[in-house]
Amino acid sequence: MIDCQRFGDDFFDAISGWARVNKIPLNTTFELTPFCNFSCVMCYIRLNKETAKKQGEMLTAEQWLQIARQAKDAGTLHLTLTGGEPLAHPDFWEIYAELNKMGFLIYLLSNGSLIDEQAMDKFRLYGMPHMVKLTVYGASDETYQRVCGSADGFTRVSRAIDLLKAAGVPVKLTSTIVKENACDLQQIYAFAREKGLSMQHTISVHKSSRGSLNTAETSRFEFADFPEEITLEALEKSKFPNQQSPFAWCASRGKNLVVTWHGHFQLCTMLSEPYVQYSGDFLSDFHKLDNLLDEIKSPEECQGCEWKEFCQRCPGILCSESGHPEKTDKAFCLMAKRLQDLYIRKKEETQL
Amino acid sequence: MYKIKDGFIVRKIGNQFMAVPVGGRTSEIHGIIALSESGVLLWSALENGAEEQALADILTENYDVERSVAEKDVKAFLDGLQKQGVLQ
Repeated sequence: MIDCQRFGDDFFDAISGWARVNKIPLNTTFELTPFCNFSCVMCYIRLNKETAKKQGEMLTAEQWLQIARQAKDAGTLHLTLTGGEPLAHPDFWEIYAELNKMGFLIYLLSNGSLIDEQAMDKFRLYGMPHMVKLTVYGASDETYQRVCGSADGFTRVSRAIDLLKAAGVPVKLTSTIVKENACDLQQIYAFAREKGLSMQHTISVHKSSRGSLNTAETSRFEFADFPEEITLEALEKSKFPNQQSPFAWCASRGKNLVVTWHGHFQLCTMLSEPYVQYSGDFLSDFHKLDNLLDEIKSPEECQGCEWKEFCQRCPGILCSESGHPEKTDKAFCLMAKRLQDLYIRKKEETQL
Repeated sequence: MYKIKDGFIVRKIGNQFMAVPVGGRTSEIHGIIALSESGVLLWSALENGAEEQALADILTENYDVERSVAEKDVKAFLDGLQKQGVLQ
C-alpha cells in the first residue's frame, strides 16, 4: 500500500478476509435501542416498554462508550449505529459525539424521520457519519401511515435525503417490500432515481424471536409468489449446495458483532441465541461468543430434508422463525417446498 | 514548515496503518488514508509541524536509506498529503 492513498474496495476486502481468519471484530453494530418512533408491520426488533423491561436494562451512555473504547482496541473499524431508531435514543447525541472522537468509520441505519436541520447542525458539530443507510417504506405518506403508522414519514425521509446529500454524506437506500407497500415498488425506485441514489429492495421478512409483535407471516412475500418473474436459471443459481457447517454461507462469522441495547453480544440481529452478556471485557466476550457459535449444529430434520436445496436458511433465520438456531419451523419449511415445486414445474415446462 | 490539520486519529488494524478523520474533519475528508510504517513516523512529526529536512532525518535515522532517497520519499509523502487535503 502506498502512503497517502485513500483506501478502496480492494483494501477493505483484504482486511475483511484477514479479520475473518484472525477472528477480529472489524465490523461492530451497536443496537442502541429497541424503541422506535415508527411501528412497522414487519419489524423484528421493535419492542414496547413493557416487553423490553422484562428482557433487560438498557445500557447507559457511559456503558456504550466503554464498549466502544474496547471495540476500538480490539480492532473495530466499521461501527454501525442502529435500533429501533438510533436517533430516538435519549442519549444519542452524547454517545455520537464521543464515538466520533475515537477513529471509527460510523454508519447510521435509520428511518430518516429524525434527520432534520437541527440534526444536521449536530452532525456538522460532532462529525459526519461515514455513510447513512435509510430504509424507505413507501412512496407516499399514505403508505407510510399504512406500513409504519407514521402520517408524514415519507415527507420526512425525503427531507433527510436532501439534507444529507447537501452536506456531502453518502446515502444508501433500501426498502423492505411487504404486502402493505408492494403497490409502491415502482414508485420507490422512481423516487430513488429522482434523488440520484441507488435502491435495493428485499422481500426477506422474518418472524421475531426477540419478542417483537410483527405480522411477518401475513405480510411477507415468498419467492414462490412470483412464478412468472423467477426464471429457471435464477432458481438453479439459488440452490443451496450441501453445507457441512450451518455457517458455511455466513459472511458475518469471525468478523462481525452485534451488541444489543441490553448488552447481549450476538453474531447478528436475528441470531439472538447464543449470546454472551457483556462482562466488561469486550474481546473476551467476543471470543466466548465465537466458541458458542462453533457448537451450533443444523437441525436434525434438515439432514434428510427433500426440500433443503431451496431452503433459505441460516442459524439467524432459523432462530427468528423457530426461536432457536437448531430448530425448524413448519411454516418456514413449507416455503422451501413451494420454491422447489416451482423449480420442478419450470423444469418440466422447458422439457415440453 | 509543514503541519497536518488536526482532527485525525492514526490507527493500526492488522498490519495496516491508517489515518481516520474524526469530529469536524469528517465534513471535509471522507474515508481513511493509508500510511506505511515509515509514513506513520513522518505523520507523527508533522502533527507538531516539521521541515522537509527534519523529516528526511527521521527516515535516515530509522532506516538504512540514502539521504537522496529519503528526501525524495519525503517529497512524495508531502505531495500525497497535500493532494488529500490533509496539510494546513
